[in-house]
Amino acid sequence: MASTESPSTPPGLKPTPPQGAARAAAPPARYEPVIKCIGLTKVFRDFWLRQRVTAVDGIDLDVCRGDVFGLLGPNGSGKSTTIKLMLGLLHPTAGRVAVLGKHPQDVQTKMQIGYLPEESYLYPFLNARETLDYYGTLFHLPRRQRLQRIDMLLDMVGLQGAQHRPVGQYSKGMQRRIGLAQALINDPELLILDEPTNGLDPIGARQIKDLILELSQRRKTILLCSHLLADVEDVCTRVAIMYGGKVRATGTVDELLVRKDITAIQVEGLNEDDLRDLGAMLEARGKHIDHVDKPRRKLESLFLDIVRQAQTQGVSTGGAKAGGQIAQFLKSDPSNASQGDSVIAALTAAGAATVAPRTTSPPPGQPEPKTPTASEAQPQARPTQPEEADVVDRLVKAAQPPAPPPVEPTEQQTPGHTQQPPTADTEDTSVIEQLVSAEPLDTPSSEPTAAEPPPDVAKAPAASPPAPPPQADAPQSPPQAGTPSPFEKILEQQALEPWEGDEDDDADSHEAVKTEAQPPASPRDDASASSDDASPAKPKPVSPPHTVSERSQPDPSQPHEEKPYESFTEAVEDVPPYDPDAP
Amino acid sequence: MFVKRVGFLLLITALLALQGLLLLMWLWGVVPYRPLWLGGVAVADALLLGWACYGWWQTREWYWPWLAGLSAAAAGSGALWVLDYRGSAVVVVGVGCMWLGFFFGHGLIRAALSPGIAWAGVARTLIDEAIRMKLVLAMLVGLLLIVPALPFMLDPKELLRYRIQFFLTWSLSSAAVLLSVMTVALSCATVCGDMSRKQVYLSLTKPLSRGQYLLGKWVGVMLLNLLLVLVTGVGVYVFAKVMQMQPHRDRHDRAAIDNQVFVARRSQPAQPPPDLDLNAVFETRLTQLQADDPTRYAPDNLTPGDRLAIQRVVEARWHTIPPLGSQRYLFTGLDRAKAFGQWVQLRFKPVSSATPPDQRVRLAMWLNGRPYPTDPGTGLQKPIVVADSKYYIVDLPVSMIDADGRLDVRIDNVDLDSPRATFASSVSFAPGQGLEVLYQAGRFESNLARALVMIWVRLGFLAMLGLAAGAVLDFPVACLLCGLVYAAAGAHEFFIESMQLYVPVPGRDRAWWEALQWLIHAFFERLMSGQVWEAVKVVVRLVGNGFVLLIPSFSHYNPVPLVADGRVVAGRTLASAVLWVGLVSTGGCAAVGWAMLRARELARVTV
Repeated sequence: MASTESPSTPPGLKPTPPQGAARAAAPPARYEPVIKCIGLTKVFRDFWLRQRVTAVDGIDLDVCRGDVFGLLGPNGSGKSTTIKLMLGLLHPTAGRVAVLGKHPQDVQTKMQIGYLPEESYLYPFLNARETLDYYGTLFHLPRRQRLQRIDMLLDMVGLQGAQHRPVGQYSKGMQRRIGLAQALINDPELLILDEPTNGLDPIGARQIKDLILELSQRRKTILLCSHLLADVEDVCTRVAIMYGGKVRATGTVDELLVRKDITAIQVEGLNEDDLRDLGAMLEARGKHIDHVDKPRRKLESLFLDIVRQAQTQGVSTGGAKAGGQIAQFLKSDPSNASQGDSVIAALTAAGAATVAPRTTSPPPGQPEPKTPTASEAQPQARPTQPEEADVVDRLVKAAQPPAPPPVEPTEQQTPGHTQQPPTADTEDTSVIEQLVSAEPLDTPSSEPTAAEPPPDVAKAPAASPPAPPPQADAPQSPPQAGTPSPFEKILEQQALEPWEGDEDDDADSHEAVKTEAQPPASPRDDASASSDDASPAKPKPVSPPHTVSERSQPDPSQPHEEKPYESFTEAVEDVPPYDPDAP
Repeated sequence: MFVKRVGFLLLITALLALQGLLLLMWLWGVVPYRPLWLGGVAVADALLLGWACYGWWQTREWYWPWLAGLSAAAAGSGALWVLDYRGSAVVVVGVGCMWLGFFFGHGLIRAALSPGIAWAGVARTLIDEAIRMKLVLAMLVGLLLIVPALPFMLDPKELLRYRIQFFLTWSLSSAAVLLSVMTVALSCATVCGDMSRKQVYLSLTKPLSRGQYLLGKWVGVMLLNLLLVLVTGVGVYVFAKVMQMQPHRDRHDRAAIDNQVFVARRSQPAQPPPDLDLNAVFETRLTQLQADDPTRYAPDNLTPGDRLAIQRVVEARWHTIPPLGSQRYLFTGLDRAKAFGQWVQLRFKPVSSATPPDQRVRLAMWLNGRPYPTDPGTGLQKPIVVADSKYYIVDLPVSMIDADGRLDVRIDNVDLDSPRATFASSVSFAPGQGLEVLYQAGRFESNLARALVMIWVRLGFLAMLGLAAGAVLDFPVACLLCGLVYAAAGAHEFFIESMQLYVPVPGRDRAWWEALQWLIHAFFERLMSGQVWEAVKVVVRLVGNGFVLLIPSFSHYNPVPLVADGRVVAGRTLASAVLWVGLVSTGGCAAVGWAMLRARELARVTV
C-alpha cells in the first residue's frame, strides 16, 4: 500500500532487454538447462519461397531442470512453433536450440521427452490400449513393462472402461486423456505440454495440474504452453510471455505477479464492530480499508464436489471416469524414485526439519503429515528445489541467519541487473508487523508494547533487518498469558500456511500456535483426498479459527466444502479500482 | 486368460480343419460320402456360427469375427454340399481355409512384432491400419474370392491342361496386380495420412529416427504382402491340384498336364553340331561384307554392336532350312533330364518364308540318327505336319538321349509323303525359344514358391516407392507417380521399343553408352542443321531412356507365364530379381525417400 506502482507494470515484470544482453545474463551453473534457445528464429515462406511470416523472432530461452515453465501468448505469438522447433519438427531459420544438451533431432534424447501436442494426433483405428502399446514400443519398453504402465495410465486417465473402443470414436476430452497418457508412458524427464487442458473437463484439467505438480516434485522439467492463464498461474514456477514471435517478459511467477503494494487479509468472519475497529486502527496509521469482500467458492471446486458425489452414488457413465490415482511409476514414491531422488528427498526433509520447517507439525493427536503431495504443494512460493549440494549447504548453514532462497535469474536480465529477492520473503509485511506490535482489538485502550514478541510471519529478510540467528537451545519467548488477540491468532495461523512460512520460523513459535490452529484446508487437499485414498497420513482439512492470507494471487487454498466458518478477504490497496475505460 | 483364449481358438480351428479335410476326402473319394454325417456337421457349424456371433456381440473381442467367418464358411460349404452344389461348396471351403490362414498369419506377425523395438511397433501399427482400411479389405476380399471361384468359371469343354494353365495365369496375375495396387495405395496412404493428420508429430518426437520410421512402414507392408502372397499361393496350389483331379479329355491331355504343367522345366537351346563351325561362318560372312563395303566394315570401324549383328545373322541362317534341305541341332546337358522324368519336350515354332496353301509346314525329324516318330505298325517314319508360325511340342522319350546327355536332332524341310510336292519355302526357327528342348529340372511346388518370392520382391520395390513418394507428395500425386512407374516397369520392353521407333538409333545391339553417344551427337547435328523438332525428339528420347533406366523391368521378372507354362523360374533369375529389383531399385528408392523425409520439415507451414 505504500507503493503506488502502476498496475500496468506489476512488480517483478521486467521488459525483455536486448537479446545480446540477455545472453550475457546466463543462469548460474547449478541450474542445468534442459532446453536452451539462442537467437532462435523461424520464418515461414510462401509457395515462391518468399519470407512471409516470422513466427519466432530471435528468442533466447532457458528452461532449467525442475522448472515448470509456462509459455504464454496469444494466438499466433509463436508458442507452438517454438515447441516444434524444440522437438525437431521444424528447422530453425536462424539460431540454435538444444534439448537436454543435444540437437532436437537426436533420437536418443527423445527417450527422455514426453510430448502432448495441441491436439491429440492419434491413430483413429487403434483402441486406447493399442495406442499406448504403440507409443510404449517406440520407447523400446519391454512388453511386460508396457502392459503394466498401460494399465496404470488407463486407470489414471479414467479410460479403463473404454480401452477397447477405437480412439476415433472418443470424444475430444477422452482423446486428450489418451494423448496425455502417451506422453507419460516413458516417465519423461522433460514433458512438453501444448495446451494440455484444451478440451478437458474440470476433473481432467485438475488432474493434469496435480500431475504437473507431482512431476515437478520429482524434479521433472515441464514446459507448458497454454492460453489458460489460470492454469499456468496455478502450476508454473517460471513463465515467458510471447508476442509477435518474441519473448516480451520472463521470470518466476512470483516475480511477475506478486503485487507488493497490496496486502490481503483473510480472517474468520468479522462483524461490523470488528470491521469498524479495524478500520479505525488502520486509519490511525494512515491506512484505510479499500475493499471488504466475502470470497466466493470456486466453480471448479463446486463442480468437483458434484461429480464426486455422483460417483459416490454409483451413477454410471459411458465416458471417461474420473481419473484414478497418478500412475505409480510417475509418483515420487521412494520405492519408485531413483537413488538420487531418495537422497535429495531425505536431505530435503532433514533440512526442512532442522532449518526452517515450511510445513507445520500436525496438531496433537493427528498423524504426522507426509511430504506434501501434488495436491498439497503450492507452487506460487515454492522456490526451485536446490541440487544436493545446495541442500547440504542449507544443512550446514542451519544455525546461520536465514538468507533469501535463490531466485533463478531471468534470461532477459541485464548483466548489471540487481537480483530480486524471492517473493515469499520480499512481501511488504511491515504493516503486519506494525499491526502485531499494536494492542489487541479487544483492548483498545492498551498501547503497543515493545515487549511483545514479534510474529513469525513478520520476518521479511529483504525488507527488514535480518533476524538474529536462531539458537536451537535458546529459550523462546513464551506465549503471552491470556487469550491472544485476533490479530495474533491471524498472524500465527498465517505462519502455518506451508507456502507462506519463512525459513527462519522457529519451531517453538509453531508449537505455541499448534494448540490453537490447524493447517488450512486447500482445494488440493480435498482433491487429493478424494482421489488418493491410499494416503492415510494426510491430515484432513480442518477449518482454522482464523486465517490470514497475504497474497495478491488468487487464493488456491480457499476452503470449499464443509466450512463451519465464514471467511473473507480484505484487500487493502492504494491503487484505484480497475476501470476498463481508463487509458 | 491368454492361454485359455489360445487353447479355445486352437480347438475350434482343429474342428474346422477336420471338417475341411473330411470334405476334401469326400471330394477325392477317399471315404464314402454319407449325407447324414454331412448334415450333422452342417448343423454343428451353424451352432458354432451362432455362438461366435453371440460372443462377438457380447464381448467385442477381436477373434470372434474371425471365428464367425470361419463357422459361416464351414456351415455354408456343408449346406451347399448337401444341396449338391459341390463346386460351390469347394469354393466356400477354399475361402474359409484362406481366411483361416490369413487369420493365423496375421496373429503370428503381430506376435513377432510385439517386442519393444521401435520400427517393429511402426510395422505392427501399419498392419493394423491396413487390416482396418476399407480399401485393403476390399482387395483382400477380392483376392479371397477370385482364387477359389476362378476354377469354376472356366469352360469345362476346354482341354483340362488349358484350363489349369488359364487358372494359374489369371489367378497369379490377378493376385500380383491386386497386391501391387494395394501396396501402392497402402504405402502412399500410410505416410501421407501420417503427415496430413499430423500423427508424425507424435511418432517422430519419440526415439524413432526417420529411417526407422520408413523401415517400419516398409517392413509392415512387406509382412502383410508376404502373408497375402502366401495365402494366395497356397490357395492357387490347392485349387490347381483340385483341378488336376478333374476329368481330362484324353490321355494326351493327361500327359500334358503331368509333363508340361505341374513341372518345372528347364530350356536347353540348340547348339551347332561339331561339324559346323559358326565362327568360321562368321568370319566368312564378315569378309564378304568387307569386300562389299570396305569403308563401313573396315576393322577400325567395326563396333561390337556390328559384330553382334553379324553373329545374329549367322545364327539365323543356321536356324533356317531351305526347301528339301536339312539342318542339325545338338542339345547337350540333358543327362539331368533322365533323373526327373520319362519325357523331354522338343518345342519349336516353324516359320515358313512363304505361307503354304494349307498354312501347314511339313517336316521330317531324326533323333540321334533315327527317324522319329515312327508308325508302331509299319515302323515307317511319320511326317510332322504343323501349322505355320505356331508353337508345337513333340514329346521325346528320355531313352533317346545318349549316355553323354546329348540329343542330336536333324530336321528336314521335306514332305515325306511326296517329296517332290514339297512347298518351295524355307522354314526357319527363331534362335532361342523358336527351337528348344524342355526337360524337367524341378518340382512344381518349388517353382511356384520361387515365383511367389519374385512377386513379393517386386512388391517390395512398389512399397518403398510408395513410401518415398508419400514422404514428399500428397496422396493423389504420390499414387499417380507410383502408378506411372508401375505401368512403365510392367511395360518396360514396350517402352524401349517405342523409343526406338520414335527416334531410331542405328544398330539395335549397341551398348547403352554407344547409344548415348550417338544421341548426343545426333542432337547437336540436327540442331545445327536447323531441324529443331528432330533435335527435341532426341531430347525426349534421352529423357525416356533415363526414366526407363531408373525403373526396374517387371516384364523381365514376371514369373507368371513361366509357372503357367511349366517352365522353371531359375534361381539365377530370382537372384537377379533380388539384386536389381530388391536391392538396387528398392534401395535407391529407400535412400531417396529417407533423404527427402530427413530434410522435410514435418510441421511446415506454407503461407
